[in-house]
Amino acid sequence: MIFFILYILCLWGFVALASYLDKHQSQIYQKVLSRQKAKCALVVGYILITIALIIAIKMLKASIGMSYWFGILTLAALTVGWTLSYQSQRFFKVIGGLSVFSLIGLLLVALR
Amino acid sequence: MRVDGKAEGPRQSMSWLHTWSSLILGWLLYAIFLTGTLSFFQSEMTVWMKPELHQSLPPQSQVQQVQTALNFLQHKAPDAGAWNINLPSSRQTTTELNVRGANEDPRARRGGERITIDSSTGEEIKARETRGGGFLYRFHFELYGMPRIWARWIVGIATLMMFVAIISGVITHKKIFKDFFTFRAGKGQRSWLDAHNATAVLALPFHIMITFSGLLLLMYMLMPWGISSVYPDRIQFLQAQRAEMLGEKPPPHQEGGGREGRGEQSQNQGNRNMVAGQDRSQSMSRGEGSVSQSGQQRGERRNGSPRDGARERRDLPIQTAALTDIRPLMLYAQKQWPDNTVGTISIIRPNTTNSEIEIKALYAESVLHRNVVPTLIFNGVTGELVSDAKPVYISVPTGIYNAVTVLHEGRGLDLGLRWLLFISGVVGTLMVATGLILWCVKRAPQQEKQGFKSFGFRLVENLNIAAIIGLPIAIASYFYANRLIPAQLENRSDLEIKTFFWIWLFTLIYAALRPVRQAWLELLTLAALMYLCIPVLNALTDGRALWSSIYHEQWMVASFDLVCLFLAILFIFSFFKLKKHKGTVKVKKHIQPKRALAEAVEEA
Repeated sequence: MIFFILYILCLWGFVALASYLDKHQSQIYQKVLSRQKAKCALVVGYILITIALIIAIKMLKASIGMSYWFGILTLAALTVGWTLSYQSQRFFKVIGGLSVFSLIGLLLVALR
Repeated sequence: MRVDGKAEGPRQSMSWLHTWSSLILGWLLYAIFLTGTLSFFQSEMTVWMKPELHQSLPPQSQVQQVQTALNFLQHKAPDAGAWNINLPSSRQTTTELNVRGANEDPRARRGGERITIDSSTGEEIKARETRGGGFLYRFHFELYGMPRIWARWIVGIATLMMFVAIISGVITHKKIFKDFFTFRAGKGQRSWLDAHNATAVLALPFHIMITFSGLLLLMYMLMPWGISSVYPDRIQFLQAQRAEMLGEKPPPHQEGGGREGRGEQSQNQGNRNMVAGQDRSQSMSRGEGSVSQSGQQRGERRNGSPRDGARERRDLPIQTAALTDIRPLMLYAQKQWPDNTVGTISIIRPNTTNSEIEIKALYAESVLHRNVVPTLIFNGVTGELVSDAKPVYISVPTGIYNAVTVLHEGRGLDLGLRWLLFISGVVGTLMVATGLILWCVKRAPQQEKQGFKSFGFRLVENLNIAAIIGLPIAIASYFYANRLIPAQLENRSDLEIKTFFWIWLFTLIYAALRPVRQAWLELLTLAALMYLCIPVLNALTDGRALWSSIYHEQWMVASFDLVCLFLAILFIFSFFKLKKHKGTVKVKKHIQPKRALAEAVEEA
């Protein structure tokens, strides 16, 4: 269950961090964001990733939680990197689809 | 200093160091990384390679599993010195039993008769002889067919090189944050560099952890002097370290040690009760009776360790006595560990007045607690709880050592974390592979320009093919050999390993004889076909077919087949990518116009 929660948080955290970088703004939004919006995305990105870390530590204890968090970070960053490289035209559809799948997984595990 | 006599910047020096420290042992590093990554699932591989074990479909209830095992043991070895019951888990389909003789040490790691039974029927299963996933695991740090100490030194040096490559790579990388998500596909050298950077940066914490912990695991061999100056041997050091962790007195220094002692020490690491601070005086409802403690036992715990009490009981004259009902003890253990499951049950001196039942959890409470799992000890006749609760003290250095080495070995970790480590390992393997290919791609234009391929370049190209695609083919052939060599043949495990090395050698010779592009394409086709057919091979050679393993939720078998299919798709994708690729793409160079003009004139 924790796997899906962390994945969704880190995935959107990295989407926000990618939105801060000029070169990815045109890929994601087809336009360049204002400086203020970009900074806002940066802050949101860091907040989401930090929340994921706190949840991981709270739910799994520090050592295992941090290990999980690092592993999920790699997976989420790979997802965002791959989507930007190969599916930038459908960026939000892909990320949204993955988030929905993760939510379904989360519900299935919770109901089991 | 550069060849032209100009001073070299720190980044350029690091770039040189990164390139050559990675290349020299790059192929070995690739093999270490790939086999190490697969070793996160060595138990699953072993299960797949013993199709006889696929028939066992464990019942949901662990109590039922234990009861089946106990019925078998009562019939097979009622007078044994000890029984160890290793219950099925997400990594094991069967119940593994170990029966110790009356004169054997019941807690030693090695020894005893090993028996595998079907978890639901209790029928004994004789699986084929194979090294299974253990071969790839051992190969990962001991290679094969050479003295162990030599192999470990070679792997240690390669690991050290890897660490140098990681540090120098980080320094060399100019835009580590700006290029965090950047991958520019279809741009020749630039794409390979992006792929190498992305695989390195995205899993950087894993790469640092796995390399550093690899060095820590070999530290007794690489830097033995500090330990040797205080302790006569490594065993004594480990015993003292463990005693410190458990708040016990360190054992007196003894000369010698040896494997026997090491085995015992390692096994005993699992026998600790970790339920610190719990009030044991509470009585637990358990159907016919209750798991309670007598005043005598409480006094015993106040005055000494539970082991002292056990020792006292051990000294009493042994008489036969019926073993207590295991069900309430299991229910009590499950209640104690709501986020864990029961992993192992040890019954020492069963069917006697001195019998003891140890119930151990499957997972440790934290990665800091290396090999220390929650354990409950009961009186085997009355069912009373006799174990003590002791907190574990972990110093900062021990904590760091335990955390990184437990993650490196994937010991006692749950399936989710194991998969994450596996994915990071795959990313690391790709990092090494892209780095090796990048070396060639970078130098290809120069080779084309000079009109012939130098020996060194050709050698690197061939070794790249033999390592990057040859090793997966060799691993697939190991799985094929496992299923195609008759199950009853003597020394069949050696034949499986020989097949692995012969096929690996074949890929090297093939790469040397064929043009590079053709060799890549043909070997990719072979790899794709081999992995695509593995689920079919499994179904045709007595294994549980993919549809059936999914239906029965035998995920360790199903995931093996699914990963093989995924790899086949990956190889097919790579094949078509390479086939579409027309040749070397000229890379934009940031060169001075004058130099560009001079080069153009020269070319003309």
